[in-house]
This record gives sequence, C-alpha cells and structure tokens, in this order.
Amino acid sequence: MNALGMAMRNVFRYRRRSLITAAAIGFGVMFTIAIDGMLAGTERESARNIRDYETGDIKVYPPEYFDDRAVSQFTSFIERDDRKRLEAILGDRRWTPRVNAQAELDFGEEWFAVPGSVQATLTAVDPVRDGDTLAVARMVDSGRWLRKGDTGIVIGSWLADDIGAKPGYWLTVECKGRGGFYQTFDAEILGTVTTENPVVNRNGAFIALDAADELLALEGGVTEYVIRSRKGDGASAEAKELSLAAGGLPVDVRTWEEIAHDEILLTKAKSSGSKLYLFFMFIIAAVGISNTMLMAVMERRHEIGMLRSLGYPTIRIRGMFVVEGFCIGLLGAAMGLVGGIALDVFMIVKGIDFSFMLREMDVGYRITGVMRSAWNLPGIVSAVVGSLVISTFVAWFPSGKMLRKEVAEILRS
Amino acid sequence: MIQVRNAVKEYDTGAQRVTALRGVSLEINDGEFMALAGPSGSGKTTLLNLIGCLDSVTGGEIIVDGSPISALGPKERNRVRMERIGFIFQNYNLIPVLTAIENVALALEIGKGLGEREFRERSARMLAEVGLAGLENRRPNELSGGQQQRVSIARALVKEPPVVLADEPTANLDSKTGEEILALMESLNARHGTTFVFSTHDPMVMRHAKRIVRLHDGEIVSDEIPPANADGTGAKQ
Repeated sequence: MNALGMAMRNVFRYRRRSLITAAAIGFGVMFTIAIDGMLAGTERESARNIRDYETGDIKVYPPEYFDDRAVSQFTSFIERDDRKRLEAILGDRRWTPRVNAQAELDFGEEWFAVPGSVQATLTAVDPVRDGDTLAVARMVDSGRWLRKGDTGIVIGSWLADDIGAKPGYWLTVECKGRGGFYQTFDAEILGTVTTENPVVNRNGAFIALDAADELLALEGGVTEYVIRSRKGDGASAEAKELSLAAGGLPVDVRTWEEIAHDEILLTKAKSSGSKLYLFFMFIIAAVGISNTMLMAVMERRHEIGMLRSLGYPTIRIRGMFVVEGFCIGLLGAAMGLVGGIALDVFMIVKGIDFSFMLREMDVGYRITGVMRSAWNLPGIVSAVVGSLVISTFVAWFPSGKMLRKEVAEILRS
Repeated sequence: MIQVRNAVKEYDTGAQRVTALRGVSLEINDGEFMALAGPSGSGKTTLLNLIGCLDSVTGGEIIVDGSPISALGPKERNRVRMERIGFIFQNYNLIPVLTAIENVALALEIGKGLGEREFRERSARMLAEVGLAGLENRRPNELSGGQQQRVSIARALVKEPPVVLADEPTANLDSKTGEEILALMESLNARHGTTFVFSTHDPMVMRHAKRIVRLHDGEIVSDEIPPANADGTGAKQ
C-alpha cells in the first residue's frame, strides 16, 4: 500500500471531518479565484475606461505641463507651429488634440428650477478626431455630439441629472483663458453622454476646439495630444519612439500608465487589501487542516506506535500524514476550483450591477455599473497551488511531537 | 540470544518518579516459548518494551545477539525492530482502512526491497498459516477478535523475525479463542523455531509456556520451567 493510497483511505475513514476541512479550504480557494477574477476584471475594465475616455495610450504635453496638470495652470501650450510638426510625426496614427481647463458651470433660473453652479472639467476637443481616437463621442444618450464650429456644450449625464439639465438648455461657462484672463460665455447644451467612465459622467463638459480657440484666446495652442498606439499594449515602446522622433520639439511624451499612475496605484492598493482578507481566509483553512491532522495523529497514535514497532522510520510516518494533508488540500482545491470557476463564469457573463452605488460614490475604479470578472489564470493557479502548499505544510507539524516520543510511550498513551 | 543485565526503568509521571523495573537480569535463548507473568504493574510490559527496543533502559543493559541496545541510535534500533523482532499487541493495532492482507504486508513494505507481488504472496501464505485463508480481503471490522489477533500474529511473523514479543495477546479474547491463539503460537514456535516471549497474568495462558518468569514490583521473583515441560534441569531460580 503506497502512501497516497493509504492517505486517501484515511481521508475517507474520517469522511465528515475530511469533508468539512476540505470544504473550508474549498471555500477559501473559491473566493480567492472569484475575488481575484473580479479584481482582475475590474482593473482591466477600469484601465480600459481610462484609456478610452481620458488618456488614450500616449499623451503629448507641452514641457513642464505634466507635473502640474491637475492645477490646469493654462500657461503651457503646444503652439500652432509645433503642432504641425508634431502632427506630421504622428502620421496615420489615431490622434486628437485637446485643451483641458477647470470651469464653473452656472445654471440660471431661466432654464433651471433651482439655479446654482457646479465645477466641471472642460475639455475642448476636435469633434471629428476625438470620435476616432476616444470613445466619448460615441456615447451620446440624448441630443447630439459636437460639430466643428459649434458654440454649444456636451456634458456628462450624471452632471446633467444633478442640475436637471437637458439638451436645449443653456449654461453659463466661467473659466480662465490663455494668459489667465477670466472668460464667461453662454453655451447651449447640445447633448449629454453616458459613458463607462464615472469621471466623464460626473464632471465632463466638452466644447469644440475651434470655438474654444476663439473664446479662450488659445492662438492655435493646445494642452495635449491624445494618441492611440499602433501596437496595442506596446504604448511604452511607441512612446519612446515618438519621444525620439519629436526630439527637436518642446513636448513631453507620456504613456497612459504614467498619466494614470495614481489611479493604478489606488487600484493595486485595493487589490492588495482584498488579497489580505483572502490571506486570512487561507490562515483559517490552514488552522482547520492543522486541527484535523492533530486529531488524526491523536486518534491514530497506536497505529503510529505499531508502525514504529515494525521499524518504519519517523520520516516515513510523518510523510503519511503530510500526504494525507495534501489529499485533503487536493479535495478542497478541486471543490474550490469548480466553485471558483462557476462564480467566475457567472461574473464574466452576468456580473453584478453596482450602478446604484457607483453613481453616488467614487470607489477609485473607472467603472460605472456592472462589475465583471476576467479570467486570471495566474490567480487561479496560485490559489490552487497555495492551498495545496498550505495543506501539505501544516500537516507536517502535528505528528512531530508524537514521533519524538519513545515507541512504548506512544503505545501506552 | 537476548540478555537483560540489571535493567532498571524509571518513569517521570510529572509529580513523582516511578520505578517500573529494579535491576532485572534475564537470558532468553533462541527458540524459547516463554511467559512473563505477574500482576498489573509488575513490569511485564516494560520489560517486553525494553527487549523490543520500544523503550530505553534508565540503567543496566539489554543485549541482543551480542549487541548492546543502549549503544544503538534511533535508526539502528529501528533496524533491530524491523529485522529481528515481531510484535503482537493486546489491542491488535491493525489499521482499520487496510484489508487483512494489506495489514500483514505493512511489515514487509519497509526495508526488504521486495516487490508488491511478493508482498502479497508472502502475506497470503502467512495468513493461510494462521488459518485465515479466504479472509485476506476483509477489513479488521469484518473480522472477529480472534481473527484480528491472527492477522496481528501473521503481521509479526511474515518478516520471519527470530523473536516475537506479545503483550497479553489473549487478554481481549474469550478463553476458547485465547486457547486457539496460544496453540497457534506454540505451533509456529515449534515449526519455525521462533522465540516467543509473551506477557500474561492468566494462569490458563501460563500453562502453555515452557518457561515462566514471574515479576512482582519490578523484580523477578521466580524463573521456572513448568514440570510438564521440564527436561531435567528443573527450575532456574
């Protein structure tokens, strides 16, 4: 009888106990797989929504703009002449120029039941190129998207809901123009957008670049170019190529990972926090299996004594318990794998709709509604392997004290 | 030959120190069928454990075939148990998840370098010898107490050790089954020349012994050959 065969028989000897322990491990593995898949899916979707609605794959900024971009100081621009040269370098890539500014949107009593004002991120866009490069233009849910020469505005749907705005209403926009002067202009709401990115829905306001150029005295300057990489995920290499190609131009090329560094860090921190809970879940499973093996050792002490009386070395007897722990872990891992994959399938196909929550609060992820999982093979493998390693590892210890005793003492106890 | 020289065994029971054997000396010759007799607490099991390398002496020496046991490390003592000594326990100590033949084969799986087929053949032969032919694939819970003890005897003998130590082998059996087990041990002793040393406090069991060593409070009080088995040398002590 080999150790594996004997271990399997002993696992089924204490069927209920083994099943409870395996179920605890399975529970841990299942939730590790499911939560890991959910985190992977959320991270992936969040990253996609950052790229599709905010950053593209690469951005080109004026020099010294990047570090202070949150302040939107409106002093650094890629100037008209440099733009022409840059656009020649960008060639047939998908790219679009943008100007970002902070604005105050005033809504008066003529159009709104409750007048007031609200902060928004005002982005001046090339209506055609923006639609080819980013996804906002495709997400209009009422009214229409911008056209060249428009003096109206498109706003995020959550923002519109908050202030009770509809297409056809008028807003007064207050913001700084180039050089720091304050500009105020009226703009008709042309449409609202409901995107997959909560930042756009909550704060986004878009005007046509040619109108902005006149209103804000931009003199042909823009604050950024958003570029889609030809290489898909190879934005970093392409950013280097662009940086080299634009060597003579006063521009600063950044990848989306650099731009969204804080958001990525936040996502990773959330992911680590969630994994800590999973770690504790595994600890509980480890305590469970340790307890099971301790009970097995205590109940089978006479068998241990008998085996030693036959001349079995302690390492071999210990090995039997370790293999038994491994078998319980294997059973648990199999149960957890099936359960975890089932949950993953459900979460990938259906997902869970968190829109009621995400509409009201910023959870750090750029997702707006249904959280969906993604297959994360390394996560699945590490959950299964982790449970097996822990089960095997903790099964090593309980027999140690017993095996250090004299055989007669074991038999007598 | 096994020599016990002035063996002392003391135990710590936490609050006090108990002396289980007080300078016991004894020689056990090859092929003997010997009983260690005495009431509970007299030191029978302790002496068996010391002879079988299951425990260590506090003082004195146990010598098996000229080698002092106390000089041996754990691995060597394992080897002595594996190669030279078979054990029969009062509670049989069979592994419930294994069949009769697998329980017997356990003794062969360690150390001999035999193949699975040879394990099974030898184990089946041994089970047949102890009267369990046809019951090889039964688990212990499907066997009577006497049958379980026969499996335990087969396990002790399958590796053909020169010495078999049995701790109250009939204590959990009814008298008829106990007689059968003793008859079996006697026949194996006669056929294979295996030395049997067994502990008992049952006079019925002692009647089968060819030599009876009586212990009381950790000391040998008599060492005699029963008249029915005497060959002229008479009582040793």
